[in-house]
Amino acid sequence: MINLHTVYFRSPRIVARDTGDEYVLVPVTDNIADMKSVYTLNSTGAFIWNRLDGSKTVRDIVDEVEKEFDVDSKQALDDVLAIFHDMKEYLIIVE
Amino acid sequence: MTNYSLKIADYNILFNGMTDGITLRPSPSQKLFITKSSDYDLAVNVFTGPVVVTEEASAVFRAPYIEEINSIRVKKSDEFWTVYRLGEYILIRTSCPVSKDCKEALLVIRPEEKSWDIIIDSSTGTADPMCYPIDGLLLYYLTALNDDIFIHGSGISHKGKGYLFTGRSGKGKSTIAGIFRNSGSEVVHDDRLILRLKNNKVFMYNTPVYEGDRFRKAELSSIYIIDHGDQNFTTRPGHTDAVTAIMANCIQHHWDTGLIAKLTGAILKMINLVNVKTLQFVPDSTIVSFIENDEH
Repeated sequence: MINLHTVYFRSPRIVARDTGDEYVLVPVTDNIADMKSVYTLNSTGAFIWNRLDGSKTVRDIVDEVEKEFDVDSKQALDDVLAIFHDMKEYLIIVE
Repeated sequence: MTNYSLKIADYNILFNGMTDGITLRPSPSQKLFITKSSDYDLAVNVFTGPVVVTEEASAVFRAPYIEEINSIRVKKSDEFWTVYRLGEYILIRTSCPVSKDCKEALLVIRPEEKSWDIIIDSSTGTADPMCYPIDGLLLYYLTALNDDIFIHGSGISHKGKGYLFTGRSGKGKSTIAGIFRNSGSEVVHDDRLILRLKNNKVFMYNTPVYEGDRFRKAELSSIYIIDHGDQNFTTRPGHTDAVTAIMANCIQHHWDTGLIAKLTGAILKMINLVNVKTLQFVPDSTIVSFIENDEH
């Protein structure tokens, strides 16, 4: 469950590489057998990633997505919550 | 012999036997890589003796011993090799399951220096300092620290063009290498290659794996991420998909953020210099002319 008032941080165990308007995210691991996952962020995910500066709440980022991508508030909320849900599940972000 | 140099991927690697009475014996796959050049990019001091890792070193990365038997990957044991960090040094302790002379070895990597050590637990006083898996580990760290790419694939030199066909196990890398070989092309290698960026060009090199291998090199024109299909067909992936697809086939140890950043950075530079496409192919000779025309 994503709390709109929570400030999330980029996990220090993720290396992010900007590929243009997207990102490749590679997790640090301690076993060769676990090296199966490389994640990618689309342009919306990359926009959110760039705003995980340790000061913005999820609500703040929803508002910025609404303005940047010219979508209505419900669409922005749904999109941001879905991306945060995935990033939290895959340990890409931490509280 | 007590010392010799190998030329692999334009790196001259000098092996020096340091223990009294030690005999260094390169494996048959490496003999044609021996160079007489006295210049070296890396000197490896080879000692024989018991393998000990100091308690101050911390384990950062482990690999189980996995054998592929009839295309099925079987885990034989949890402990094959382990990477340790000791200050700036990287230590790798490994068992050597296929060597007659070497039971265990320790590779000591000093990333900022041109001098590394290998300690080999040899009962005979004879040692192949590049026995499996030390060869792959040494080449991985040498190339990774120098912003190169160590990748599984088939490299082909065909009519002045260099092609790399890469993909996961079972996707046809060996098959396509065989087709090009039968058409008269040079197979740079059909298993693992080193890619190096020099002066805005990308070069691919073979590594010693098979008996009789010799140094091979070709400038890379195109990378194809391959899969079997019912027709020959290419698509051009975006940057992100190209990076992830190439990365999936690279030899990589993801315990260190710096190594990960170097690899992703090298791949991004490379895909700006060569064509990258996905390729579905039919495993017959039509793929040769298809690639020739696709390139044009």
